[in-house]
Amino acid sequence: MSLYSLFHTVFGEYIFETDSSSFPAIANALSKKKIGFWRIETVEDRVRFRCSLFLSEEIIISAEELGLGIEIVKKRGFPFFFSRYRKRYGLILGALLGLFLLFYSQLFVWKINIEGNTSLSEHDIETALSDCGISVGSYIPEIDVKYYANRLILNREEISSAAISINGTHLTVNILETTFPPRMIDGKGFFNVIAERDGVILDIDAADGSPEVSEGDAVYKGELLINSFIEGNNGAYRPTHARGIVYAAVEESLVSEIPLSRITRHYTGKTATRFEITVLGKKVPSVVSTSSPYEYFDAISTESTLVFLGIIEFPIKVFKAVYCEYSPETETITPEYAKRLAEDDIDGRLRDMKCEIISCDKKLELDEKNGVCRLTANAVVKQNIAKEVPFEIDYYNISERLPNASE
Amino acid sequence: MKKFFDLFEKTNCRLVELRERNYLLAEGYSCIESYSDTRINLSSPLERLSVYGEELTLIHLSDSHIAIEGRIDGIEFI
Repeated sequence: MSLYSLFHTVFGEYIFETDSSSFPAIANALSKKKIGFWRIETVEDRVRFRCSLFLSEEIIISAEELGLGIEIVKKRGFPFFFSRYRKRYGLILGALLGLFLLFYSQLFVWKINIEGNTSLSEHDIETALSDCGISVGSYIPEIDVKYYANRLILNREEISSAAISINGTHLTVNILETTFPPRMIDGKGFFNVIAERDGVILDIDAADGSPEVSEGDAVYKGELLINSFIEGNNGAYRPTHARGIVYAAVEESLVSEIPLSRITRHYTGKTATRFEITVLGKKVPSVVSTSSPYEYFDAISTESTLVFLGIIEFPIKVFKAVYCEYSPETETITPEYAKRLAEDDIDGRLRDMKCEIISCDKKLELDEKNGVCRLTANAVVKQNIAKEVPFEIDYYNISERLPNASE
Repeated sequence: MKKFFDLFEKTNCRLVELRERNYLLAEGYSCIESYSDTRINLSSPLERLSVYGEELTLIHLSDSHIAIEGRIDGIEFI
């Protein structure tokens, strides 16, 4: 659509029709009066042309003066469209209200754009902003960007710098994340390293302190592994903060019980969809409840933003929840299947321990009396058993020793 | 030379410009005598001009300018 066409659509135009024999006289008369007309089309032996809504009367008068016939065949444009509804007061009121709401909504934040974040998620920053008092639907004239940027920095130590800018109804937060210094090793206090569990030492690496055990030694829980005292250059011993990693082979006993009868979901095929709409962050009251109409159900929820023509993103969010009903039913499973489930459970738990598994003996037991399949696993795993424990000593410093020496 | 330009002014110069048989601009012609999509007759105080062809359309008309678009087969001074 050209700009002229758009202009004529907005302001309205008439399409006139006359005989091809009458057209030259009318065209000459309009030209003399400087009345514009356009898009002249010949349809069989008649000629059609268009003119502005505001000049139509003059064209009719000109044709009458010449004693030539002319008729309006079509009216095009918004003024004619709206004139059709001029007595529909409700529609006019609705349109006016809509326009008012559209302009009024310009005073609120429609969307929050977050830039500059790398490790912090957008959700985290939105939550932090919300804690400061800014969210979708905040009243723009009351937003003091400098104040809220400072509040954001003070509230979240992960943010070292923040800038807030408002562009129309979009609020943009540009942040710079904090680069934390490496963690300092705590050298204060006197600590021994003891065994957290019974086991056989596989590897010992003492960062501070003197190792008291070596590879292959069997240790009990609470036994000293790394001594706090280390020997100095002159043969004297001094206490320190002992630390280190001590890997040992430790036993882990895991039991998994799988009932031979279990409750399963039998889907009835009934589904119910519920919507919840939020406008500018405020929930729109709904006549229909948004909760599930079923007692037993699975729910799939989605959130979408209303986008007009794929460009304009309205501050309207639609939450859609699809509830699928099921009825709980008791199902009996075979011992083989129960064993497989139990093995999967044990394997999952061993994986979660994130340890190297040295060996694993499994014993299956079918307890028909209680209706369970029991799998017992005795695993030997490689685990760090070092545990730092503080201790107190009578501190004997040089200032106390000097007077004693003089005596 | 002066005489030539005087003549030019006095005779109310008419100019016809034809562009690739599709577009005709006639300067000095102010009236349409007849109009159809195969023939358009124009007139000036001194002479008449007939444009014939196919799908002829008047696209501009003012005091001294007339523009015609379409497949122009010929022009004729009457």
